[in-house]
Amino acid sequence: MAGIDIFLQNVANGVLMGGVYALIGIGLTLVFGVMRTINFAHGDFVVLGMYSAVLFNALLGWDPYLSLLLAMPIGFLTGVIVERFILSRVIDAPPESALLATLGISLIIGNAILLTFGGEPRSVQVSYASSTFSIAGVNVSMVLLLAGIATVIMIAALYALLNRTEIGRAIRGTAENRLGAELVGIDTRRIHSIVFGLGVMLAVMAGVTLIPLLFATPTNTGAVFTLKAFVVTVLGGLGNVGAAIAGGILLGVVEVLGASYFMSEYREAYGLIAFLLILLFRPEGLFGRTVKRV
Amino acid sequence: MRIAIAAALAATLSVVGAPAQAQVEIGVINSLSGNFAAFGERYRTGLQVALDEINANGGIKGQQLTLSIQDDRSEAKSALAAAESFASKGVPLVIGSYASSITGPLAQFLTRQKVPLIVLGSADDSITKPGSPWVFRAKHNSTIVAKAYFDYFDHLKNTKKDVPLETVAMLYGNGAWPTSLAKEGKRLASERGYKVVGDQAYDQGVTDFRPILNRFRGANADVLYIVSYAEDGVAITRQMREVGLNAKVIAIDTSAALPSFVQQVGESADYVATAVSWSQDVKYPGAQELYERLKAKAGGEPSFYEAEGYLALMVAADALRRADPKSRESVREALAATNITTPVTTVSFKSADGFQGQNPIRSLILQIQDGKHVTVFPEDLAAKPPQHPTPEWSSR
Amino acid sequence: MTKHLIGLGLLLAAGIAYPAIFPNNLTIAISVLLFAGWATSWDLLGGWNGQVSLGHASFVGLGAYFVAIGQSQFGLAPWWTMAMAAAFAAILGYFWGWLTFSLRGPYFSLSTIAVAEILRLVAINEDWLTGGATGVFIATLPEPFGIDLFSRTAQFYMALAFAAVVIATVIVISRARFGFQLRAVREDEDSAMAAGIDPTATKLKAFMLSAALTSIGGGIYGIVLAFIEPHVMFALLLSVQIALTAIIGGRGTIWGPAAGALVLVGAGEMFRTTFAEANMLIYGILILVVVLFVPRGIVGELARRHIRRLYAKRAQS
Repeated sequence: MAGIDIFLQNVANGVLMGGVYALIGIGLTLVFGVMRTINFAHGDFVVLGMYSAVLFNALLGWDPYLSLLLAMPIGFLTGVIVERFILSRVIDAPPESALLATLGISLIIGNAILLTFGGEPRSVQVSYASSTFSIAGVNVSMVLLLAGIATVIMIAALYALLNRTEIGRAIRGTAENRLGAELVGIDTRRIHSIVFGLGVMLAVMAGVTLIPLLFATPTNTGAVFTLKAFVVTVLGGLGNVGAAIAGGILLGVVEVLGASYFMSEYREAYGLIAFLLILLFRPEGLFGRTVKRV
Repeated sequence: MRIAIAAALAATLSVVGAPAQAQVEIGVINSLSGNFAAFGERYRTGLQVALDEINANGGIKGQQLTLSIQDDRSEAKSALAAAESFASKGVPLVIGSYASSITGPLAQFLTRQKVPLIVLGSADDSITKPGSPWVFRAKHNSTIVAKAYFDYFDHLKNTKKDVPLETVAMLYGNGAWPTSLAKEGKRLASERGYKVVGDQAYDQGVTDFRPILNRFRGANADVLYIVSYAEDGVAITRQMREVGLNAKVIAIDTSAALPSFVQQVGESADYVATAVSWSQDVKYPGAQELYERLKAKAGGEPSFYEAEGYLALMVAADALRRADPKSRESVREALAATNITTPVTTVSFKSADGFQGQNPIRSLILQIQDGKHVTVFPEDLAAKPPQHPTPEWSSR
Repeated sequence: MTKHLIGLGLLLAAGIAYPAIFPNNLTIAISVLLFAGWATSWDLLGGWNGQVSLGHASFVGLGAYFVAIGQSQFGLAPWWTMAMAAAFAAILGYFWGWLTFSLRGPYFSLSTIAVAEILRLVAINEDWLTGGATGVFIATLPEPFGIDLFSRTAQFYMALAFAAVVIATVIVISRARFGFQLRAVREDEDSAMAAGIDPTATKLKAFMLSAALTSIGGGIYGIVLAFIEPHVMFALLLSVQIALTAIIGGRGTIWGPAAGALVLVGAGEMFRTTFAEANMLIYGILILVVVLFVPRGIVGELARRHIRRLYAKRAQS
C-alpha cells in the first residue's frame, strides 16, 4: 500500500475508534454536564454492561445486540436507584463526597463481578468479530462500524430527548442553573435521578455494544474506560452531547495516528496531551458553550 | 458461574481455623482479590489438589499438612504484612505470589528474615537472578520461556526448509513480564540470525491494536512474537485477522494459554502457539491423571497455572519430609537438595548463568489445533507435530 | 496550637514504644504511618488549599525512584537522594501547578490525572531513566551508626519521623500567615485577591511543599519494598488512595488525614485477613458508609459536633 492509502486507513480507523470512545464517553458527558460530579464508577457501569451481555449470551445464547433490550431498562433502573439512595444524599455535601461515593460504587461493582464471574477475562464470540468490508480501498471493521452506528443513534436519540421534550428542557435548565430551575418549578432531584439513570443506561449500552469487539475483566477494565470517558467529555465540551462524538473522534484520530507514526508505547499519552491542551487553551471544549472555569 | 459466596466462606474458614497439634502449617500468599485474581483462583485450585494428595499419602511424616492462605489484594504492601505474620508465626516456609511487583519485595523481605520462599507464579528473571539462598522457583522464567520460543522457531525452520523464517515482529505489553520476555527475545533473535522488523510496546488497557498490526503488515514478518496481558490477546487475534496480518508463525504468550482464549476467539485461534510450563497431553507420567484431578477441583478447564500451584506445594512437601520443619535452615537445605519427579516436571534447584535456586524446567510449546491446546514441542514430549506454516487469513 | 503539639508528642511517645510492644506487626504500622504522612501532605494542597489532586502517586514514585536508582546506580545514601527527590518534587510541583492552576474544581483534578498518567508512561517506557518496566532492586543500603535500614524496626522509625514531621509542619502552618492565605484562597480566590493575596503564588507554594513532603515518604516506601516497579509506584490507584485517605479522615483538619490512614489501612488489613476475596467489596461498602453518614470526614465530623456543643453551652449560659 502506498503511504497515502495507509494514512487514509489510519484516519478511518481513528474515526471508527473515536466512535467507540464517544460511546463510552457520552453517558459521562451527560452526567458531568448536569450534576458536575466526577463519576469514577462510569467505566465500571460500562463493564457491568459487558458482563450482562456475557451472561445473556451464556444463559440464553443471545447476540449482544439482542441483549440490549433487557440491559437498557436494567441499566436505567440501576442508575436511578444509585442516585436516589446514594448520590442524592451527598449532592449538597462538599463536592469530593460525590467523588468518593462513586469510588466506593466502583469498588463494589468491580468486586461483585469478581465474586460472581471470577477473575478470568471475558468476551463474547460473534461470527462477525473480524469481518471487514472495503470502501475505496479502505478496510472498515464490521464491529467498529456497528459500534459507530450505535453511537450515532444514541446521540441522536439523546439530542432529541434534550431538545424536543419537556423533560429535556428541564434537564438543560438544571444543568445551566440548578437554583434557577428550582425557582421555575422544576423538581431538580427528580431530574438528577433521571439524568443519572440515563448516564448508567448509556454506559451499559456502550458495554453491551462493545463486548464483541473488546474484553472485560472485573477490576482493571473499568478504570481505563473511566479515564477515556473523561478525556472525551473534556475534548468535546459540555454544552452539547453531540460534542461527545467530536471529542471521541479527536481522541481516536490522535491516538491512532500517534501510535501509527510515532512511538506506540506512548499511545495513551497522545490523547492525554490533547486533553491537557484543550483543557488549558480552549476550556469550553471543541464545541462546548459553557466555560469550565466554574 | 460459581457459587462464589460459599467459596469465600470456605476460604475464610480455612484461614481462620487454628492449627491443632500434629500439624505442619505452610504460609501461602496469593492474589485472591484485585487485578491478579484470575490467576490467584487457578493457583489456589492447584494448591488444594496437591494438599489433598499429600495428606492422603500420610502428610508430612505422619503429620497433617495445612495451608494458611492469605490474600495479598494484588499489592506488595499487603503481601509484606502477610509475610511478616507468617515469619513471626514460625511457618517452616512460605509460598507466594503471582506478580513480580509483589514477589520481588516478598523475596527481599523473606531472605532477610531467613524464611524459605517457594515462588508460586512470578516468572520474571529478576526473582532468581541474582536470587538468594532462600528463594526457590520450580517454574520457568523469562530466559527459559524465550529460549523455548526460539528453539521452536528454529525447529520449524529446520524441519520445513522450504518455508524460510528470517524476520520477527514483536508486540508486547509494557508490564514486567512482557517486557523481560521481549528483551530476551530480541537478544535471542540477533544471536540466532533472525532480523527484528517490528518492535512495539503498548500500555495495559489498550483496546485497539490496528495501528501496530498495520505497521507489522508493511514489515512482512515471518514470525509474530506477541507477549500480551491475560485479557487482551483476544482483541489482538481478532484484529490481526481483521487487518489481514499474515505470518508463518504466530506466537502469543500468556493469554493464548488460557482455556477461555479458544472459546472467545473461535477458529481464528487455530495455529497460534504459546509457551507453558505444563499441559495435559505432555508425555510425563501422571500428567493426564493430574489433569483429571485439577479439572474436577476447578470445575472447569484447568491450565498450566493450576499445575504450577500444585508443583509449588509438592516441592514444599518433599522438602519438609526430608527436613526438620521446626528449623528453617534445615528446610532451606532440604529445598536446595531437592530432586523429585512430579507429573508437572522434574525439580532440582541449580545455580548457573547468574541464576540461583532456579529449576531448569523445560518449557513446552502448545499450538491450538482445531480448537484444542496441543503440545507440539519439544519433540520428545510432544503429542502431535506442529501445523506449519500458518495459512493466510484469506484462505481460512 | 500547643494542644496539637502535645498531641503530636503523645503520638511520638506511643510510636517510639510501638515496636517493643508489637514487634510482629510493623509492616502494617509502616503502611499506616506512610499513608498518614502522604495524606497529610496531600491535605496541605487538597484540604487547606482546596485543590484536589489525583496525581500524588507521581511524587511517591519520584521519591522511591530517586532512592532506588541513587543507591543501585550511584551508591548514594538514601538521605541524600531523599533530599534531592524533595527538591526535584518541588520543582516538578512548580511547573505542574504553573501549567494547571488556571483550572478550577473538578477540572483541576482531571488535569492532575492526565499529568500523572503521562509521567507514569514516561517512567515505564524510558529505560535509561528508571530501568524500565522490569523494576529496580535495592540490594544494599548504608548502615548509619550501625543501624540496618532494611530492618522493619528502623523503617518503622523512619516512617514515624516522616509522619511526625509532616503533621508538625501542618500544625505550624495552620497558625501561620501562610495557613490563613491557604484557606482564604480555598474559600474564594477573588476575595482573597482583593485582600492582597496572590492566589496562584499561594497555590504554587502549597503544591511544592505538598509534593516535596510526599516524595520523602516515597523514598521510605522504596526502602520498605526494596524492589519497585513503575506501574505500581506511579499508579492512579495509589493517587486515589492518598486522596481518599485524607477525605475520609477529614479534609483541612490537622488530624483528619492521619485518622483516615488509621481507619482505612487498618480496616483494609482486617478485611483482608478475614474476608478472603470479598475483602475489597466490603472495603467499598465501608467507603460508601463513611461518605453517607460522615460526609465531612471522621475528624471533620467530630470537630463540627464539638463546635455545636460549644455553641449550645454558650446559648444556655
